[in-house]
Amino acid sequence: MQIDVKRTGEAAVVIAGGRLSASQAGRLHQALLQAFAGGGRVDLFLNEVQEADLTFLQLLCAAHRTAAANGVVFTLSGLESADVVRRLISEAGAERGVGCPDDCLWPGGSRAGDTGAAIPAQG
Amino acid sequence: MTEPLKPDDAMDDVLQSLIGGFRDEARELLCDMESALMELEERPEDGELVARAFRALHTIKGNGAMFGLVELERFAHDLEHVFDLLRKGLMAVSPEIIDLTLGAKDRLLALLDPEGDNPEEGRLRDIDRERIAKVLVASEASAPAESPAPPRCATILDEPGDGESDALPAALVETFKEEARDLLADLEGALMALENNPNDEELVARSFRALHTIKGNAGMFGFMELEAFAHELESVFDQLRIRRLPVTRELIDMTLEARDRILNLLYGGNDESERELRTQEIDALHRISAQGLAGETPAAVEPAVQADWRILFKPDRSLFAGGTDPLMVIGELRTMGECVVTALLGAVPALAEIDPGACYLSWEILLSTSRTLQEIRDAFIFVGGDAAVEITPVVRTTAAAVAVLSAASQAVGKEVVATGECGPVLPAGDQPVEGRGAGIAARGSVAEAALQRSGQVASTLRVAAAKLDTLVDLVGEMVTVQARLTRIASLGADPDLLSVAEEVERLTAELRDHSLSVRMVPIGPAFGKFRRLVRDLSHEIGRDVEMKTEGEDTELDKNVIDRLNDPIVHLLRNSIDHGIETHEQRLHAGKPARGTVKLTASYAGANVVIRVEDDGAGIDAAAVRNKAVSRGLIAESDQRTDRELYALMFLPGFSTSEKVTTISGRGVGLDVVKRAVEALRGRVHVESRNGQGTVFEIRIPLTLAIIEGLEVVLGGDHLILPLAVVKECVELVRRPGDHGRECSLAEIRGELVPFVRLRDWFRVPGETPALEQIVVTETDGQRVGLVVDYVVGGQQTVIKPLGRLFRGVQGLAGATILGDGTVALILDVVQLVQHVQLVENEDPTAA
Repeated sequence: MQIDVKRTGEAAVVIAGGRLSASQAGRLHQALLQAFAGGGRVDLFLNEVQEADLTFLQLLCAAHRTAAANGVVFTLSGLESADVVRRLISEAGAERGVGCPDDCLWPGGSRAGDTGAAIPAQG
Repeated sequence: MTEPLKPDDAMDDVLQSLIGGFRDEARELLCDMESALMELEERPEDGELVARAFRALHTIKGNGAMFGLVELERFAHDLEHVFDLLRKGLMAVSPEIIDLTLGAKDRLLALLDPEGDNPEEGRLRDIDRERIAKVLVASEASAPAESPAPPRCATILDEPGDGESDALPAALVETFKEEARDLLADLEGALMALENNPNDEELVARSFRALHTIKGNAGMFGFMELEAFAHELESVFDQLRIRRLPVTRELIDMTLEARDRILNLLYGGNDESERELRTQEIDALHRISAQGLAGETPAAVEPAVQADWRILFKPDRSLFAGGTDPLMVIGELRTMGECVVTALLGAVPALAEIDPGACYLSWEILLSTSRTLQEIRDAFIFVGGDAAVEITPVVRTTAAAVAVLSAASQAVGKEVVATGECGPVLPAGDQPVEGRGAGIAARGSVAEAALQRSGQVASTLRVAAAKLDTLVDLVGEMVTVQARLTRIASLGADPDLLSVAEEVERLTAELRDHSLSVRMVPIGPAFGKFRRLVRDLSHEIGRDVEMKTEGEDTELDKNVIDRLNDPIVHLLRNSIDHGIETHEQRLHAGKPARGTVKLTASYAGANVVIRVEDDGAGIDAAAVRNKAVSRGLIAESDQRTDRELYALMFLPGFSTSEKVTTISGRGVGLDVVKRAVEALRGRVHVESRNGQGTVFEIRIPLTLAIIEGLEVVLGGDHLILPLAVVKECVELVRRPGDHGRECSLAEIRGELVPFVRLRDWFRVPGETPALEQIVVTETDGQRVGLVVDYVVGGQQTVIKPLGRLFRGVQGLAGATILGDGTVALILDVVQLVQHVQLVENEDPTAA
């Protein structure tokens, strides 16, 4: 599993790849907490994801909710090349984003993009 | 004895109106039953016809009980019993049963009439009851021992209900009872439909809802026994709903019986026998229910029928810790059929609160599958106690309904979110609803039909005929006032007034047409009655006669249809008694042994034409002539055509029949026909071909109330001619010798047209104007001119009947009130022309 957090000024970039499953969920959770702790924009970049499960999906939603609650921007990039994540979203029936704080983080929501489009999170 | 409701008491208008509605409906049901019986005679093996008759009787029985029409309910019940046995195949349809039921139908009709029951009717009912009893005894003798006759439904019982409701305000209890009655009626309707469509989930759900509501309300109003009884039924229907039990005829029968039990509980019928019946039914329901609970689902329970299920799947937080992946479960569900999965993300907390190893997700899954409930449950076997799983059947809906709901929910949802009243963290958002629709609506035909049915119910309204009569009368008054307004406006020079008058005229014409059309009803049901008549008559005189009908959809003013009954009965009697030959005679003449009487209705301009046609012997013109000569109606040397001779048959007392039967031959038929038809401003004529048959044709105007008329003036008086018979108006060019003659000829575009000088005919005093006009009319293909002083123009004419003193005046159809308030006579052109011809034929010097 590849989990990196980089900070450029106010923004933080989290790079996640490899096996994003239950066994690694704690690490990704910590990385995201760290990224949001800076108080600025957070970009999650998916890089060569080999495996993803529902724990990863929950963390994405939790990050989205956190961004909304804190009024910061959270973006998801690299989804177009992360087939396993797209398949996970689809199989879990999560593309509809029922219960999300705003429009969906991934395609299916009206404003979200998978190419790094910023999602202005609202409190 | 406490009767549930006494309609003859001082009930309020609403109840009386309801009872009136029931009576109308019951008459229609009996009419339908009669049609079914007539068809059943031809096709005794047709189970649907038996079911139709049964349903009619069952509904009448149930509603009769509801409205306290005890004798009606009991008699209908006795008859229903017969059809119940027929329906269950425990007895065969026989001519005797058809005869018996047709007779009994008349008894029921009499019972429906508030004034119809009398000692003679009671005697006839007793005779019918004896016949019913014999039929039932015969069936029991031949039926297998294990098929006992269903218990007789006790109808009105002595004791009041539970009594617990005494403390409640009577009005509230009454409201509950009324609602329960409605629900029971709905339950009954659903059960009847369910019998034919046992897989219709909507019908099961409807029945369940009705029972559920009755149970709940009964508990609330202290009807504890009723509540307990309804609960038993509801439990069974709950199992039907989730497909643990199949819909069977036995269950429907039992529920229909149970419906009667509930009705009796509502209205005080709670004696020992009733309790016993309830206990028996509860035992039976328990037996049935136990089958479902034990999972004894026979093959018929779960046929390979697609069903829709809504599954709520909420795993325990610790699910992931056990290594279970909910997506495996979801994947298995996907293999079962069409599946719409929606993850519910609302429970996922923010990063600070989340336990990354816990499961916060839950799902709503809509599954369309032919798998059984148990098979679906089995998919969750590995999540076992670590998840809450709720599986419920979904009532299918239509794509259209889903679209409407979806649009509505989207709009409301967006509005709520936009105003910040609520975040979008809701278990159901826009798209999932849409998704559900797509998943489920694909096979929504059942619900679609249900929606259509509900649409039909809402699209008709039963209105008392008297109210429509009043409406038409008021429109008539309106037409008169409008004519006055138009007249005043045309006399003045106010363009605004003229404009308003024209608008009012246009609207009044529309109002008139619409209000008249409300009274138009199809003639079909009336034809149905005649079918019975033909059957009975032909049996009575031993002829084999088939009746055919055509044009049942033809609509005619309801009043006109009612008044046409007697003339058509006379004509049918004549056709069967005098027209159709005996079996041997027909075969000898090379005709089919079975005679045919055909009744048809069709439109012809502003008229409806009704034809009574037979393929019998036809009218012997020579016999008519001989009879006319012997009665001194015509001279021996008279050279009338056959058609003219036939017209003599409409004279009072004219009959060529050698024998008088109970059906006809007394010579009182055709003149009555003629008078009745003419009273409707109609005409009747006959055509016949010896050996081939006879056709009586009745031509009736569509309505009696308002016509388009042509206003003319004669010696200062105004007259109205029905515009329907007017062809053209031309100036009269006088020729020497014309004056003073009542009838003469005018050359109109090369054709000689006879004309009648109305001035002379009505002996109008005063000078004849220098310039006169001929109104050319055409009736029966014959053109006749009527000479008037001048023509005013067309106008809507409200027909008012003439006073008693003037009713015998030939050539007048009625009177109307003109725009200036004066009265104008309406001419009956046909009668007038005939009368003039008759007078001239009798007295050539008059011409």
